[in-house]
Amino acid sequence: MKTLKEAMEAYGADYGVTMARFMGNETMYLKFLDMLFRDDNLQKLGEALQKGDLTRAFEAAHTLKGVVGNMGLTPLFRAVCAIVEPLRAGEAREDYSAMYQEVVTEFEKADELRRSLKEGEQA
Amino acid sequence: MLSQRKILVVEDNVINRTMLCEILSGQYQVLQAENGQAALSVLKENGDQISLILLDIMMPIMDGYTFLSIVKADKALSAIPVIVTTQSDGESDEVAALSHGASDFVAKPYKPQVILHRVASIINLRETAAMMHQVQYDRLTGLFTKEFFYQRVKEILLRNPNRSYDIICSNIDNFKLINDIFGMPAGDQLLRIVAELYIKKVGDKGICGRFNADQFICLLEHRETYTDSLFIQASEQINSLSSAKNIMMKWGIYEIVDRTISVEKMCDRALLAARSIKGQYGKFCAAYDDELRSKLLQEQAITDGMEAALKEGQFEIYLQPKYRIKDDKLAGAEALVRWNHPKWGMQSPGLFIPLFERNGFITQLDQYVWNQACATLRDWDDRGFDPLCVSVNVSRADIYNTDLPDFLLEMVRRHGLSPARLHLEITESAYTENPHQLIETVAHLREVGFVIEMDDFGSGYSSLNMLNNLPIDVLKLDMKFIQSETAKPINQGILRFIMSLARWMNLSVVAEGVENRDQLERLREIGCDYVQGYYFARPMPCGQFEALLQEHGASVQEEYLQTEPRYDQGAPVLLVADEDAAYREQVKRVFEGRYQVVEAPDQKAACQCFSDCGHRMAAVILSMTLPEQGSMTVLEAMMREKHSRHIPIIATGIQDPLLEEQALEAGADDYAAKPHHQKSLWKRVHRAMDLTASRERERRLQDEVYRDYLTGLLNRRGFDSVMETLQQEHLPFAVILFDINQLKYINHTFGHDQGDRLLMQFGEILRSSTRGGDILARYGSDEFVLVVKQMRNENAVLAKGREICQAFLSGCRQNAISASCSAGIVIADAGTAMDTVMKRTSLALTRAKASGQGGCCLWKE
Repeated sequence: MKTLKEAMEAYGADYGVTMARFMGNETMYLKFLDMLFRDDNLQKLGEALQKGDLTRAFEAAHTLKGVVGNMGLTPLFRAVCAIVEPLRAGEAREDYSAMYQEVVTEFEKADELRRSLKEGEQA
Repeated sequence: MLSQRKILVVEDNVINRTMLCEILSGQYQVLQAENGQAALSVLKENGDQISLILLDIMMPIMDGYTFLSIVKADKALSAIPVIVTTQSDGESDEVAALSHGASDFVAKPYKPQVILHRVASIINLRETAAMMHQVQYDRLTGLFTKEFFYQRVKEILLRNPNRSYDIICSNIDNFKLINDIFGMPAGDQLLRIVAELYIKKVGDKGICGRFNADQFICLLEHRETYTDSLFIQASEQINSLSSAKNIMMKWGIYEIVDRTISVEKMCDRALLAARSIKGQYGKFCAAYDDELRSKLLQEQAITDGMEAALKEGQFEIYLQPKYRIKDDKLAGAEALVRWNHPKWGMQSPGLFIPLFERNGFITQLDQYVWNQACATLRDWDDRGFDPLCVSVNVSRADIYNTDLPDFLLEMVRRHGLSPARLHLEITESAYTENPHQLIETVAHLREVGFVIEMDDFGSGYSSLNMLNNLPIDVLKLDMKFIQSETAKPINQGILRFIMSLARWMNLSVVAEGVENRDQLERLREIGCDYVQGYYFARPMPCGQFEALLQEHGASVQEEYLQTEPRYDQGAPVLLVADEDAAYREQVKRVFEGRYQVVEAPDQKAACQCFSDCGHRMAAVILSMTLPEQGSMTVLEAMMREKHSRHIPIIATGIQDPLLEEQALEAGADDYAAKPHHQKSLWKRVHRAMDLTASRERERRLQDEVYRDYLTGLLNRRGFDSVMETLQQEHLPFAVILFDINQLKYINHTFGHDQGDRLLMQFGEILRSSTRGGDILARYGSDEFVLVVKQMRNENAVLAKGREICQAFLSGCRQNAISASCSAGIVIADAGTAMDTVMKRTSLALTRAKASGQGGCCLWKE
């Protein structure tokens, strides 16, 4: 079984900084990680982009950025940051869907991290 | 530990919110809201308890900016600090948040240590500021507090060495009274009014503060003169704004001439100046000047020397003789104190007594005087002089400070004197702070045998109510009062009224400060008992008084030596009417000493006793088996006579229910079946006396409540109550309402004395022009009413009304006063309510006035 530290570092997150935020409480971190995957902001972002509603898209991306930042999921955080900035500026761009796809991919990677920890738990 | 501080987290995202809660919950109690709207309702509930708000900006329903604007605009909430949580992606959010009133911001991703640190430091900052504000500003008025005022004055003086300043302060003389009468909220309102006036007047020319209760102070740029009118105007403004009128403000001014003294001292000087005119009518402001300074220095010198003076015997007792008017004989003395200072010479009490009253030394001095007076009496007794009584002053502080009755009793016992030899002069004032304690203490003193004199009656704030409540034996009339009173015509004036009041309350009266023959004659004429004053003798050293006593002797010893002391009467008489000589002897043995026991073996002797000393009769012990059915004759005779009707009667006889019933029905208060123990008789007699006394008190009180003090007629309340008792057989009755037309003008132009005289005059006319059964009352300030029962003749009533108006008019003309009266008349039948009758009467009066002054008008539909 991988430890949380090993799993996070393998994913690319800074274990030390992140866990300080959770006062070293790993159980609490896992609880929050579960909550992240129940969060609907990713879905909102996708829907808003499809409708071309850049304002809603920014709101969703902005919230998402705050949350994943707090969770210390660095790769996912970078992907969200990439889309937040043009959305904040309200730029009409062609590559939003590519960027969104990048976010979704990173989201899945993060989910893998979560699942690997769950498996470890079960094993 | 104090309860945890509360923090409100406003954040829509559940993960962020929960995370913040987790971070904070270790040290704070955290409340949550998911948007601005929800946060506002949390604030509505807990607003004043929340120490800090952590706020996200981007939220649905109500965003952070809107929330911030609302909170910062709300006076009750604006002081709560807000920390905004932002993304670390640009300054714009942060700047916008700060410009909306946020105190600080924290960025995401959260750094728990940073958040905790910022939260703690901002809460701390805000609490310190709130505390500083509390320390610096008076919560009620918003002015500077005492400490902060001092500090600011120091700074201003340091920064402006070349500019001159004054300190001005004020006290409200009667603030406590205003608080008492109108209540604390009114008192607070008054203080705010004063504060506003200060702020307005001082403006940016100085600073203002409130020291305590009603003490205000300000520092102003110096001006050369301060006029009375300036302060009168300010006082008037305050009076016009406050619900309490007649507020007396005293102002004190200190020009800062000496910057080397402390600011505290400067303020003290202004306050001392204000205090120096406390209670002085017509004085509004006083400056701290050389005169005040030397007066204060003198007071300081007195204070410094007083203890030593007492030890070294510098205080001397002087005695001022009191004479009985009836036979001009020496009847007692008042012990006064003089200070024979080795350097300053003989000091008048006026110089040091008020100061001792303020600094509390009076208690020690009074005790010294009492002791000296007792020692003098003991000495005289030992040398066989007539046993006089001496009166001493008891200050207010004595009553509150010491266990007075025990102290005094112990003292007279030590000197082997009866308490009745020491008369205690107590000054009464309607503004007594704790009247209950005063009454209780005085009652106790009187119970143990001291004779109580009410000093200074008629000056200051004497109150009839206090007279009724304070158990006293002697009324001492103030000299100033007598001096102005004797100048007035003989049958007018309050002096006569006070005499009759005293008679009626069984008090004897001492007039003090009698200075000439006229005064004496007048006092003699109205029946005053004792006099004291320069006309007879000044206060003199004990030796001199002793010579006087040796030469003339004193004539009143038997009056003073009663166990139950009274000035104007012999010992109370207890009549025992009983055919059994042995029984009479028994009663005599038990009651003698406290009463003069008079024996009567039959009805004839009993009745003789009534005519001899009926007015001194305290109680009667009456056998129901006197010879020749005499018992019932005695009872009937007692019930018939007004003066004996209220004397308590204990009937005695064999155990026989029929006889007992007969006695009680005939008016006996109690029945003691023979044989009985004398102790039980003693108890029965005193219980009956107590009952009678309390009934009597009630009756007097009722009478006082129903009488107009000026004219002695019924007042409005008395009138209403009498009218309620009118019977069918009195109908129809005529009501005449009189109105004195120019009373206000006369009061205003010639003073209230003149107005009062006019009212009394009208009362007299009303009395002399009516019959015994008529009802007379002073109905309003200048209205009188006369009710003639069983009267239907309109012309006769009109004639009566005109006769009275005419009599008043000609009386006024004689005295060259232009006053007249009008009258409205109604004849009231059965079935007309009293309200309606009075309404009609006053309508008729209005018509009478309209038709010309001095007229009468009969009411017609």
